[in-house]
Amino acid sequence: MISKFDDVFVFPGDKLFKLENGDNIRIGQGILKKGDCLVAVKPGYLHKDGNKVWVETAQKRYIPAVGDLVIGVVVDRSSEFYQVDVGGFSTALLPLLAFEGATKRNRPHLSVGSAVYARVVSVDRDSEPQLSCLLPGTQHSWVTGETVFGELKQGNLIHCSISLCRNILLGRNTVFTELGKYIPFEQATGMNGRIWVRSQSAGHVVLLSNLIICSENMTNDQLSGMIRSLVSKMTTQMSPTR
Amino acid sequence: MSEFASLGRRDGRKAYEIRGFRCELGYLERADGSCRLEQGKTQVVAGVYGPLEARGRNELPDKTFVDVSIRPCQGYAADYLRLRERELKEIFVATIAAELQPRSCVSLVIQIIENDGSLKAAMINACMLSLLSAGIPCNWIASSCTVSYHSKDTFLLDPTLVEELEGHATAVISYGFEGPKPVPSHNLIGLSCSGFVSSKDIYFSSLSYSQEACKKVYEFIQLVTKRSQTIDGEQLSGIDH
Repeated sequence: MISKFDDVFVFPGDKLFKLENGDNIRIGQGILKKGDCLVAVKPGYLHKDGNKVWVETAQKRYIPAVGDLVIGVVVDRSSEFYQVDVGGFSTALLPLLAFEGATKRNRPHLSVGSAVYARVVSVDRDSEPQLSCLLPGTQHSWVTGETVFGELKQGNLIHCSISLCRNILLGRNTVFTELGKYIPFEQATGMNGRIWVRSQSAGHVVLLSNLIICSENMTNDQLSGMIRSLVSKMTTQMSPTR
Repeated sequence: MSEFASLGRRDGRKAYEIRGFRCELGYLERADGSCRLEQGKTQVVAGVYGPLEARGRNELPDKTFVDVSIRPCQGYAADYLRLRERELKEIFVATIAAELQPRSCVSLVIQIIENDGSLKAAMINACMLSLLSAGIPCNWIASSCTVSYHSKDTFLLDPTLVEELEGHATAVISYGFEGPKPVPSHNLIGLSCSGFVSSKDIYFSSLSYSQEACKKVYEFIQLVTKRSQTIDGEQLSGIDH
């Protein structure tokens, strides 16, 4: 049984701790309740926040969870849903009307192959996960193009590891703040191992994409040095020579 | 013990000594989890694809479907490899926590690079490493070891191909380990024996020795997996912690 939580690397089959009567614990990814014990089913570092417990694994394939922000690619549409590939083992459903301010007459038309930024609203082991582009509390309609969620036009979609996305979203990886000092760009990071970037020119998008991928196995200090040198190289190359 | 214990084996090992392991995780780019495992000269590459959407009759309403396929060095998969596929499937159906993701499919593909004995054990160990790197939920960590029975009271652990052929029986013994340390509990999850074991005593003593060997393999699997998720002593998934 594990009593201390910091920096514990657990393996499948490791008994984490016994549940007492009246314990109020929310279990997340990589943990299963077996009898009166919590058991790890994935290898990774054990994390605890309040009454939530989960295991963080460096895996490639995404497993949908409620509340995740994801970037999906539309693969099909029916009369009521878009079928969206989010990298999980089955496609997710995005209702046609789940956009801010959308009505039957006035709604976005996504074609097959377009990328969409959405959040996961329901996950059940017996049905497909459901997505939504609605964000309660916002005023903008999808028409204005100022909504948080919705179609991602132009730009480049990068596939990367889930742990990189998680580190970026949690602010452990500062690649975007570093890049923002030199290059103007837009980005969206999905929990499903996809990052979308858009910038002023194709050259900038390529540079951004490569730097983001490279940032995975670097510490933040190494990263800022690399970004500084590459950006300076790029600006000298791209400036018009006479 | 007779000649082997006193004289040692051809490669200088003791009778109950296993060969050195070498492993390269993430060997295949496209697979969700993969590794190349060397166990002495025996070498296999295992790739895990999944969980994918199961199609047709592979779709099970209440659990994950596990598919194992073995590719030989050359030519088609012969009948004995089909048998190996089935034996491996039985082990990994039990190992994978199948009820967590119904209607999905996990596909294990094994390519044999070189066979120098203990092939099936190497395949099981390679598959387990790949499953862990793919993040497939598992009930325990499976590790495996081969025992080759020689003269009346001698057996060798982790035999080479020559030793396997010289012996009159070979057993592949797999254990599932449930942690945490210091004393992981273990249970026998697979035992396939070909040939004739001379006595009950030697059989049980080989079981206890192979258990020690499997535990060493288990520790190796743990070490490799942990190292793959850590950079420079820092956590890969959580640099701030």
